[in-house]
Amino acid sequence: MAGILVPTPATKSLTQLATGNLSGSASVTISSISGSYQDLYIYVIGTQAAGGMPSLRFNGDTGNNYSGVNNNSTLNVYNGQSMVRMTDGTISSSANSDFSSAYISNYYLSTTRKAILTQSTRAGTNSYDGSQGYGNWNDTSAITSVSITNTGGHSFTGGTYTLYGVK
Amino acid sequence: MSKPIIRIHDLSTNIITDREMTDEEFAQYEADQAAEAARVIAEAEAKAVEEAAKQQAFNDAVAAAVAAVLAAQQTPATTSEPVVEPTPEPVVEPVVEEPVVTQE
Repeated sequence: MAGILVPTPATKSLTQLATGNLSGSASVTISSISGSYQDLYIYVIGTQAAGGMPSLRFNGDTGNNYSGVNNNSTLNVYNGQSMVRMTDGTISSSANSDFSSAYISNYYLSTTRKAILTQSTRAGTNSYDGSQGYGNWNDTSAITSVSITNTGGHSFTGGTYTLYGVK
Repeated sequence: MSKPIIRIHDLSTNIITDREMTDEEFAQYEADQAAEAARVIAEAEAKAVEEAAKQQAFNDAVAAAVAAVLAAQQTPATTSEPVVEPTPEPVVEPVVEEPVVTQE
């Protein structure tokens, strides 16, 4: 009996590229990122700081080239900012105050602007202390470095980061 | 006074280095702090405006409801008699009897 040949589904795999602590620094820059993956995935867990929001910069770009939307019971839109937010709502110095992640598609391309999907949870008294969103880096350069920083410039007092390459 | 620390994780060597911010990085750091302070103020102001609008809408709705209740209480009740249309009399056609003719 004749049949239709269905292609085998492609599987993606994560490779851990970097991990470390945020504590004691105002920002952590992961540099010399290889362009041999399809996407990048960043986890930031247990982030603590005296306010501000965990955010990302690419290739050291501090210009107002980032925009995005975060949904935290209401939609918060930002345009022309100097970093892309991983979360919405300020964090605190309490334990396990934040989990954030960001998925950067086609980071290795030097022909397209970069889109970033974000999601986060935050310890707090409100049931809606989590957010989902997306961001945009208005630059076509291949991403070779990612800086984890804070909108308020506060130094991190806790938390870990992990960067994965997705193939 | 020392400047905040920047941490660099170089994947080509897997070496993590901590160093103080340069003057340029520190200027950006201060700009970030100012921008965040402005954002927090703007967000608080926007929230206050939103709350005030919600409160005003609620007040307006309550005022409208109270006005409607008062208007209903002040309007005299009117009970008009129902209009009864007269029933038309049936038209009765007169019956004309034919004369009876007898032949002898």
